[in-house]
Amino acid sequence: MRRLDRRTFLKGLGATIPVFVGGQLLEACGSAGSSAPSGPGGKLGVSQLVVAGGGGALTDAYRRAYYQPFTAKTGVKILETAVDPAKLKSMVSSGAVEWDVAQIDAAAAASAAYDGLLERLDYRIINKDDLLPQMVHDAYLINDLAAYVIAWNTRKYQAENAPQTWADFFNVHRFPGTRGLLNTPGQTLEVALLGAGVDPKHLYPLDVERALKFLDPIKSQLRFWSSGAQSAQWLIDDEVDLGTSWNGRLQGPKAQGSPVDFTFNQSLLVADAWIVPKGAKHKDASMQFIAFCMQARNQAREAELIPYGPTNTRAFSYLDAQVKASLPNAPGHRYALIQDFDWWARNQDRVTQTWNDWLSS
Amino acid sequence: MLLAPLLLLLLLFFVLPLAIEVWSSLAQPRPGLSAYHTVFQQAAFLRSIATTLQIAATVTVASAVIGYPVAYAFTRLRGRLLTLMLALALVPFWVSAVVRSFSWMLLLERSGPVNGALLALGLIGRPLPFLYNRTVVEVVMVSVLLPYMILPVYSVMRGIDLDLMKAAASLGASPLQAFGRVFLPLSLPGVAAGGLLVFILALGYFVTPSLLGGPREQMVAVLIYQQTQLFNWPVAFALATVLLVVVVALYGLAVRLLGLGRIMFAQEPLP
Repeated sequence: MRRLDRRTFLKGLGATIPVFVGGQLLEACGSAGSSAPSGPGGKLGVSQLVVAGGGGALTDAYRRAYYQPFTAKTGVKILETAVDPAKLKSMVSSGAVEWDVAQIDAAAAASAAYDGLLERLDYRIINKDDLLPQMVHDAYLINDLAAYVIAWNTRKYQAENAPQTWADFFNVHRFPGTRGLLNTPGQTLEVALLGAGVDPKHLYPLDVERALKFLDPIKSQLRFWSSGAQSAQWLIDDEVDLGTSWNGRLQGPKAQGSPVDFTFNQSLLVADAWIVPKGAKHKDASMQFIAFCMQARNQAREAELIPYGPTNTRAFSYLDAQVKASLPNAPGHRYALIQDFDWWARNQDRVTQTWNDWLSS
Repeated sequence: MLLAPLLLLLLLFFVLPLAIEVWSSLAQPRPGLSAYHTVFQQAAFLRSIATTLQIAATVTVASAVIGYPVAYAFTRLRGRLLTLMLALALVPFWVSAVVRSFSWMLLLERSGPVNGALLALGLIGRPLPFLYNRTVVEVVMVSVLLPYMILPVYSVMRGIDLDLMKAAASLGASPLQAFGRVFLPLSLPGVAAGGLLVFILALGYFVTPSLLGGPREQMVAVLIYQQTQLFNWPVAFALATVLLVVVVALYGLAVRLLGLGRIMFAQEPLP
């Protein structure tokens, strides 16, 4: 869902890959004989795991931070496939589960958990001691955080006079023109309420009516994007006067000199999560894989490849100041809150219908 | 006998899944009409069904108005020029819907070449908002669906004996009268066949409205996708069934009014 433009991302990536892979190989050799599974097939008893992911730059980063090192360490090959919530449901209900593990948007993960489509995660295998507490759930585990941010075209605004809060963002008198928002109620309603002045601590349960009432007078100035690529393109091409996007989508273009900038101020943090579909065939190996991915060192590698924040608190100690500054949950970034995925799982149907009615009226 | 493999294929991979889909819409979340209840209670779904029918109708009429003269012009061409023109008419089939939608986006955006040219010529003071409204969705859909109109109309027109026009002229008809009273009626089965194809295909459009439409262009297919992503399958099934019923009803109506032969083969003249 939220990936950097693949090309942009790969360019910046070139130099760093061999170092990581090399480092991991060395570590794999060094740790042979330790308690971790080792050797081809190893203690895991499987030769391959099917891991579903979002594709694009995010999966490119995952491949280097997690999949290749895992294969190097255990001998278990990772087969990649595309993740899709509808496919998850059809696999589980037909009993033909192809995936062993999947990386999926945390709101979808919570919803799948709510619908009973997921295995419980085994926290005897996955070490949760160093994980941020809100990240740990029975059937899904959040492994990185992205920020839904306020963004602008730098030909129009300088950082000093750009909107810094959601109240600014929705103020059509101070900042005239159109603004781009995500075309789902999730994330959009949250930032609308922040714009209306609701305290982030008391955002949930969301006051949907209030959010829509707040958006109503400026509805004609709102444009809704359906993909992260589109959100970044709108800002760069000046299709909207103000925009929103996910930080990972903007970081690359910004670094490459595209006229776009953003602030982490008041950002809403969203996430990717690991899940194991109900009825997955190699449950133990899947848990081992997730345990490996959640290790501080490996999460730090992901953060170096793509600017999404680790959820293992020790990961930050492996990162330099520049990488830290690019991460949504780095110390010093004044994000507003982390999205309440479980609230969305319980209220999604109802809120989506209210949202659809409002949007189409 | 020769048809057996094809029939089996259709039965297994088309009829059966559709039957399961329709059955599921009645069986989930509990037996009965509760999914349909949701669909028909919800303003957004009803609006979306109405929007979808309106867009499909507009696209069909526009395709006929634009496609008919093109098909007529084709009947006047021969040899290599005809081959070339037919190939050009088919170009929309060669480009994927996603690529096509993105190219329209780049062409028509605020900083795109169309707005750039209009600004440079001094025709407009500031960029026009071409994108994210119903008109652009319809224009792009017509550009894609036009071949489905042109080809059946052309094939019917080719079968029309042009001596009939001469006969009409010899009986004192002006060219316009000859066209209106002889050629047009003879070519209408092609328009009916093309129109049915375009309308039915338009009903299921997904990529174009979701990329180029605004909030008011949420066609049914877009909402079906949204519901599947929310694990809300019964509602998606019910929406899909509503669309299916509309298609079957229209097809039945067309067959009833025009006869199966004319719709399927676009050949027999109207009575």
